[in-house]
Amino acid sequence: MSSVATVLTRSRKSQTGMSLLRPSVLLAFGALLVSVSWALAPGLFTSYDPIANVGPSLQAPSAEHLFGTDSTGRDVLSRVIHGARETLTGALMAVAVGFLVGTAMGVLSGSSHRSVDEVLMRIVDVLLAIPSLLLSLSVIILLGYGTVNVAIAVGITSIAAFARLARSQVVQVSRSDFVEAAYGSGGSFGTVLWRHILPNSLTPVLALAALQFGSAILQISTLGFLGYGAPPPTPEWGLMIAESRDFVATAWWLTTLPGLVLVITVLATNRLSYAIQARRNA
Amino acid sequence: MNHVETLRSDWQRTTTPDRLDSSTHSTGLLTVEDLSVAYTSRGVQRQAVDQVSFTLDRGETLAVVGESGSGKSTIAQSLIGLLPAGGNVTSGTAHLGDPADALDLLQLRDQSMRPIRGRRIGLIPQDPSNSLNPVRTVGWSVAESMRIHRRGDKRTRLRRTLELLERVGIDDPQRRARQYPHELSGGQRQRVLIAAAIALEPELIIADEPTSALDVTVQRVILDLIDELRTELNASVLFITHDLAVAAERADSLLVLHQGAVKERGPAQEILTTPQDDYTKRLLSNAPSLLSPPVRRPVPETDPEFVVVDGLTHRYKSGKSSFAAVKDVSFTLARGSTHALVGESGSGKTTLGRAIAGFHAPSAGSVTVGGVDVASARKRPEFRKQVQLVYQNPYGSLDPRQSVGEIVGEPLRNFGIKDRGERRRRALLELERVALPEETADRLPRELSGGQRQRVAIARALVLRPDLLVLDEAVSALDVTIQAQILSLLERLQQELELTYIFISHDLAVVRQIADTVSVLAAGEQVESGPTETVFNSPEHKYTRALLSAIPRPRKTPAGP
Repeated sequence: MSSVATVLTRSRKSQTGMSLLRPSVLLAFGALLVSVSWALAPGLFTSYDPIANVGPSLQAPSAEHLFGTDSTGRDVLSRVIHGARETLTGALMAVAVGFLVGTAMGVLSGSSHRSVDEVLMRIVDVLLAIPSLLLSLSVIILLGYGTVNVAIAVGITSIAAFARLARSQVVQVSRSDFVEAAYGSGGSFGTVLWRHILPNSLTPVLALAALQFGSAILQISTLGFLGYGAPPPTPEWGLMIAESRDFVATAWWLTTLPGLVLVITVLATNRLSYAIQARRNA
Repeated sequence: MNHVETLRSDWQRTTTPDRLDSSTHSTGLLTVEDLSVAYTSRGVQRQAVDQVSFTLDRGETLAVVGESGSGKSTIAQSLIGLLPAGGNVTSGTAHLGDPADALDLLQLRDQSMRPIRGRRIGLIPQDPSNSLNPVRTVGWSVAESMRIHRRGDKRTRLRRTLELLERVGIDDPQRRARQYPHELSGGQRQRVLIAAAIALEPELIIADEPTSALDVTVQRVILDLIDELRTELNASVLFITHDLAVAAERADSLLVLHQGAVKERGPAQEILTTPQDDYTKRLLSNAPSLLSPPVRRPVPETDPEFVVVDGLTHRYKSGKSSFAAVKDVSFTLARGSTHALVGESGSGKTTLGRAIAGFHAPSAGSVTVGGVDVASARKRPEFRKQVQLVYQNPYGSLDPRQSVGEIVGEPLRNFGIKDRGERRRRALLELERVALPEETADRLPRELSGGQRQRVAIARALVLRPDLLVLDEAVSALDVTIQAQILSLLERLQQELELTYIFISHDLAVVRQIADTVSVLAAGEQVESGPTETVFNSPEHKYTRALLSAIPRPRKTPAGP
């Protein structure tokens, strides 16, 4: 590689990096990094056991217990930190289900024969017609309670959004001259799809995945709050808020602080999602 | 063309020997001195217009000629105070009106500029399809400036709107005024925009590429209309164009702009016959001309029937109705020669070219290339080694995520050359053939200019060593100097590789330069076909004659008939 080319590639990278170095994006990235490291190694951040009594019940936040203690004397911060694993893995699984199934459906329907397209898109219409909470509840009732099932149910509700977006991108990219030129230089359907159509349609789908990650956290917590998720005493954010709702008047920290962590995490994923989209449009 | 004669005498009357000296002119309507404009983006300042000075007399047309990026539109935008964000006038003055009470346009704030726009300066924009509000009727758009400047009441405005529409040649103004832009053709829309621009009888009309989006026969009518209105209103026209031929035909004086700086200015006639500046000379010699046909080398006689198109018809079906885009076209083409398909938009030339390249099967008739029937061979990959297509828009035909080396090497990958090094070696060879430096291979399409991208597209088409190239308006999107380079590249490649070209174009001057034989298409029908010189020198069909006479040519010398 000649020196001119290396300089060019380097300047290209620094240019696209620009939009990702904004303070708000860095902040969002930092917040996500914290919750992800909580999920990966909760032991590094707290020494308290999340499901054991470690002190008197309903203690307000103090230096010893930063987020206070709950009705049975468990450390709230420790539960939030350990709960990150529960919530984030659930959200990740949900997004993975929606992304993989939805994108596959969308790409298939955008690139194959009209009859296939019609069938797949009508399935998507049906999915969109049912309110997402109702849909996920129905799936859970079919599959049974539990963290994994909740994640799958939440994932299924996002399939339609991924499928529609992926389809519209594929249809748009398929019409461009460079795709026709690729067929025109002897490319087969599979190679053109893999080399040209997919790479050029996936960026907005990835941005949607980041956005969905945030809303999956919310949905999983909602289902946890309603009691369809992990059984107590598992530290899950939605379940924690649900368990402490009787104490809203007397112990504000029980609902407010885990709720705040939840909101910050969701906002951070949304900000990152917009940054990805903005970078694509730049 | 009576008005042109009158105008010319007009122009001669006002012409004085010290014409170039802008400061001492008394009949000047617009005097621009030392105008500089810079754009700032991401903290980097770029000079777009550099110390430009000119004078525009009353009743005169001044053409600002330049290629894309020369700053010609920026000049117009700074005069009406509508520079895009980031643009700033850094120096200069622009006085409008008689010297006694002249206004400096560049000093005006938005508030005081508003009474000038529309009333003293009318703007005819470039793209008629984008410049009318799609949710408003045509009549509403024409009356807009009258409404803004509070001219008359509703009834008189309506009467004036209908008058204006009739004046610019819109048939049945009553009905048209109630229609929406999408119900009008491109030419009609441009007429409506002209009507809107002259509604308040401005003394200065700025026409920013008013015809570059229109077909050549429509272009002529619109340019005639602008000329007529100029005489009627005794207005001056600042005519911005990339097309030297149009400028030469319509303007009294020229301002040649290159990279923001004036290269040459003066009477059009003088600049065209005796250009002083090197850039102007280059621009003139690069502009394809109908006046001096180039000498074509003789066509090699190895295979006189290399491409045979026989009775080709293509229908587009939608529901029960069908529409014939190409009707019964036939021609033969010898190996190593160039056949041009000429026509205006909607004439079916692209549909025909794509049928020859095997992108769709014809409804009737046949195409054979080198003895192979395209309709039956077009699905086989091997066919792609024989015929390749080059697209009009070099911005859309290259995958934005691939490097140039990957783009050029990709056809080889499709044909089983697995070794990355081998592919790269051959891609570099092709890049060298189209005169691109080796390091281009590691760059992305967006880092290249339009001309460089088109070279990459040609390299990709050539890497499989095809016999036939279908060039679909392959030079239409390029500036004239770049166009000339690509055309000479195509000629060199034709000789080196014994290529056969199908050259699709709306530009007759380019066609005359490159084609051995030509077919003229109108509404899908082949109205004329034959050797280029015969068709150009003695056109038989009236459509061909109309096309040829619509091409702008420099005005004849004043001494001539």
